[in-house]
Amino acid sequence: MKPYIRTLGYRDRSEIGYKLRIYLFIIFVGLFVVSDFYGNVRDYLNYSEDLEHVTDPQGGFAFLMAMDAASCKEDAFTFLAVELPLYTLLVGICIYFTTVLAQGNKSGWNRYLRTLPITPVMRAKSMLWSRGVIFVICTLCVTAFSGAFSWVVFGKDIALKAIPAALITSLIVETSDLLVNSIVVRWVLTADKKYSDNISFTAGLFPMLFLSLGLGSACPGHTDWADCQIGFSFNYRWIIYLLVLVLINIIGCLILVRNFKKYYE
Amino acid sequence: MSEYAFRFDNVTKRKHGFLQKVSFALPTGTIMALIGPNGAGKTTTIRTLVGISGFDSGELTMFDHDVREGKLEDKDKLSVVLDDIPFGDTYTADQIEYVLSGIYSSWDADLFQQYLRRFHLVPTTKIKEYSKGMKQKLQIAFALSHNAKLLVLDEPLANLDPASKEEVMESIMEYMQEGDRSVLITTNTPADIEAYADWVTVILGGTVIITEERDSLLERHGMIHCSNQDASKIDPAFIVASRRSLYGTNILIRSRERFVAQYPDIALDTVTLDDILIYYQKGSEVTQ
Repeated sequence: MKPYIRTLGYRDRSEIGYKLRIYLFIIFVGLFVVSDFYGNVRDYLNYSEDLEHVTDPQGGFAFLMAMDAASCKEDAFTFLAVELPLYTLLVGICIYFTTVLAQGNKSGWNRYLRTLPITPVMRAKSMLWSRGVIFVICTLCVTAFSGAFSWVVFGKDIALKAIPAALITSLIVETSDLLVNSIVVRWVLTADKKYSDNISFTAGLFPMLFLSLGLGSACPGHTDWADCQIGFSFNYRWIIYLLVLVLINIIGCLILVRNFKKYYE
Repeated sequence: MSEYAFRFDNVTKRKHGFLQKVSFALPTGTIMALIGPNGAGKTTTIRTLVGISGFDSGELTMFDHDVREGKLEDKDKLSVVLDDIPFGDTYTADQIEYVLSGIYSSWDADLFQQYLRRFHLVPTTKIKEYSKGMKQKLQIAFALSHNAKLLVLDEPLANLDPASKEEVMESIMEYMQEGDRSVLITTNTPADIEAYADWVTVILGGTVIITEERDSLLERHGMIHCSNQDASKIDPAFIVASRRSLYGTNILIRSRERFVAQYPDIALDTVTLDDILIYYQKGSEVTQ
């Protein structure tokens, strides 16, 4: 498969479903940030003198766990100073991907795609190929950041434990994301042959990313990576996130399909 | 080689645009002007032809294949210029070429660069910085650069200045030099393409009312300018439509040869596609 095909999947989406997803996504991330701040500040107040308690993770990101510990060890202001910019960056990156890379004259591009010699399979492959690239980049970035941060904050010994922990967490997160995307692609391809050529294969890409982050964190086996001890941690917030994300994706996919049917009939 | 690049046969469409038993065909190796007023069904016809939207009944073939099959090899031989630019505003011509060059099997990168130079388009400039006319020319450059057998252009000259119109039409004529290529151009200003079209199809209210070779169409119509009194003496069978004012009457007549034989003393002017479109569209009317 030729590399340029990769880009196609990101530009083919329905206007309404696309906007709705972005709005819901931003609202969701806002809630996520607020609740996570609350949780971390509360933990700081409760456990600031006891680092053992602090290692109870507040989220699924290994590097954020390290930051949790940092915030409790130092003070809430350190935590805010580290986590807020990171969340902002995360939201910024996601908005960039969903608005800039997926932008364009969406209805026009959709129409134009219909005139091009492209098969649904080519576009499905392109999407999965893109996801594969994101898989590698995300895994490496998360691991590198977590390792570097742990090294600076906790020193070499903790960092050497945190690096493989972060790698495993990233693999769980990214693999689940890739799997979910593959399922979406398969569903789209088999749902209705008549419309499959037009339905966005990236439907739910970024909500799915967070869904899989939630899966990676909430599933049994969620680990206290800083100590490299495997434990169980069903965090109620992640369950809520999961439900919200599933709802977003169901609504988004239904709107996408409805719009495409309406448009092409 | 197919006899026709495409053929509409009683194609009817009721939703998302209206077509009523549309029948016409584009002979391979010719340029056809699809003319009609705004909302007549030109864009709907194109959308149906290129597979953007479906139709309810009838048959529509492209390169002798049913368009509903959506054969990739047929799409590979098809170039489309839509009425609005489909590409993302933040991309450059070079970036879009990167995408499209791999999609079309016979993409000609050198030819594309030639068209960019010819149309004075900078390949590294973001599309959002282009004017409307430049965006239109960029679409046309893409359409001409992959050796398509059928070029479908929806109002390609709408946003262009006269010099650019000429550049584009000259490019299309060069494209036509290989005999197996065909072009369908829609416009609501027929004068722009009158000199270039081999065939003319007139569509009104979703119905094709004329599809004919341009020369034949122009030759069998004529325009007379006469007094209102003389106008009343003309056999209505010859009259397509008339425009009557205090100063006289202009009449578009059909069957020019028979008319001349019957009325040898009445001077008959030639007509343009604009005349034909206006008179067929508006019918007879009285003006002050």
